[in-house]
Amino acid sequence: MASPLRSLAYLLPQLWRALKEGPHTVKYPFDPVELPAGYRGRVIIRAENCRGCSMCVRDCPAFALELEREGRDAYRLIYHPERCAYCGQCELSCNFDAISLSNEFVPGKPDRKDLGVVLVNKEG
Amino acid sequence: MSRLLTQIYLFEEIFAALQEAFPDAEFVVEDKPVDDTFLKLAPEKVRPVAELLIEKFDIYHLSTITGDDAGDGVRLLYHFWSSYGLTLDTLLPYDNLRIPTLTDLIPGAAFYEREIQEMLGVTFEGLATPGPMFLPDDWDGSFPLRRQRLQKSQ
Amino acid sequence: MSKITVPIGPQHPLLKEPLAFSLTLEGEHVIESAMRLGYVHRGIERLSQERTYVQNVHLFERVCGICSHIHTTTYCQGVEALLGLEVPPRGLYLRALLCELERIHSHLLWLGVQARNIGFDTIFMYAWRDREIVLDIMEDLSGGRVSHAVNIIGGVRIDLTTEHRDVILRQLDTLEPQIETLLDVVENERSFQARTRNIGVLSLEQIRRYCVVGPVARASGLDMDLRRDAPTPPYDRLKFRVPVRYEGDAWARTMVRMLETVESVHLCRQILTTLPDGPTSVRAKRRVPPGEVVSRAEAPRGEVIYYIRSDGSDKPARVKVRTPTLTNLITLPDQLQNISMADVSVVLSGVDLCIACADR
Repeated sequence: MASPLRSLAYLLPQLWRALKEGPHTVKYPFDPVELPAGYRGRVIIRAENCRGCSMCVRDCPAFALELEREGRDAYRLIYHPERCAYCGQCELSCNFDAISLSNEFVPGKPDRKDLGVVLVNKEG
Repeated sequence: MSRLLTQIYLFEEIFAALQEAFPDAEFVVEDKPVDDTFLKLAPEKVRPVAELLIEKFDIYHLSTITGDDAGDGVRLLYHFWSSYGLTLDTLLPYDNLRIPTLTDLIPGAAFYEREIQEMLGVTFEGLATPGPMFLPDDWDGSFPLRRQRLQKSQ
Repeated sequence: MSKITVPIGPQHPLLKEPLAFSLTLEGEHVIESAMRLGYVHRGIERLSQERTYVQNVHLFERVCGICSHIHTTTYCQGVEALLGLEVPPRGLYLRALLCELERIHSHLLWLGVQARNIGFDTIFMYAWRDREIVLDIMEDLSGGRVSHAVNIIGGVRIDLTTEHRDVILRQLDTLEPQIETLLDVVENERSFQARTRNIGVLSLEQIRRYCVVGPVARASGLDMDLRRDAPTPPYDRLKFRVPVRYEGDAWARTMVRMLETVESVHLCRQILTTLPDGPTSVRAKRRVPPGEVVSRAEAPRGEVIYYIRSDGSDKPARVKVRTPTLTNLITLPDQLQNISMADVSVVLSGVDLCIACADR
């Protein structure tokens, strides 16, 4: 049965832990946020490695990547962050180590038009 | 290894009992991954076989009923589980999508049968249907999992 | 006495996900109940027919947020069986590690919800704070707190260094006494017991007739756990107990889930200390040969079953998903019969509703 001593035995360690750890709230975006290195954030590109093979486009489950092709060496890879599910499949599918996910958190923008990003633009 | 032997032994017993109870019926057995055995039978045999499984072998756990538009009819798969999987596989022709319900033997089959009724248009005779289950109230009445819809969208 | 109809849902503080109930009360007692699902039906089975096997791994992760990893595990297990692939042992152990971590996080979440529905907000706060330790472990391992994207067809995409493994073991050491405290409260606290004992009793006969799975079934005496009954590696090498209770009420369900959480912590430790070396995945072909597979696994809420049929292309012909919540929901009209309105919250949360799973 719960007695006052038993309740203290529960509560004191919790109180100690709460005092030791302090508040966990981070005043984002004014305070810096530490995300782990493996956090799946913004999609980044190493354009010199990209061959335009479109494996990433084919494997993206959210249809967030688009390849516009004009010739063998002239193509554009467009990325839509608002459709992206941040799953990392493009990074797994790329055989040339061109596309990957950084650990940068992606904030929103008021206008959808500002979100589309041209990752690779090769004129050939 | 001993689990596989148990599965083979128990299934042989079941198959022998089925052949004894339904001497004129045709059963085709196929082993499938992962840990499952498919028993193909005619639609009218599903209910008697299920009764036999429940009464004689205490196989009462129906995991789910899958409905699949196979091209030449709607295929119903009754997935049972009793330390290994046993699936009853039957094909309903398009012009006669009717089969008796199992809900008086296994009340837990109600949701699965209602879902197939709604998604594929199969009528389960004897099933109480208090309205749509997953589809909205103002749905146009078509069946979402039928092949024609898939071909149209492709 | 006159009858009143009280609607619960689709949006309601008791429910974490949309589900519509219509309870008919006579005085304070419920005499009739009606349930409507389908508010989060996204047609995932139909969508999966238009996407490739690789894209579908991510689609099925989004069936549910709380049990996302077990869905991809079951799906990948099925597709790997169709392809005839053998996942390397290290990959299977890492998959199981995340399954157990997800079980801990799901049960702690549920304990908070159950406590909140009783009015015991302190346990809600403690349980969700301790859940943060598990979410931190999962974020360091996979890059996401809830959506892990760890499974690929052929294995897992993550790996673990020895230092990272030691960090996780230390975090589990912090977590274990907290879970044991919560278990102690559930077992001994008078107010908790007064609200959950003898509420929503389901007999073993009802469990068998409704084919109920998971902790709800184990709380009524049905000893069924796919980790032990259909062991896939590594569960065939790990030692764990399956807690079973016989009271069948909401308290028994809470006890079963808390005991399972303790067992899962032990399992995580075993997995981490006996992790074999080697690769974590094998390469998988994109086109799957024709065939069918029935794949089962033990999710935090019970047995999840996937049926996959392939026709030789790179898109599945049919994927059928049956989640455990759909099975457990069918017991609700029985449980809600003749109970007092105040106990409705306990009954609803005892089933561990995950409507996104049920509706797909």
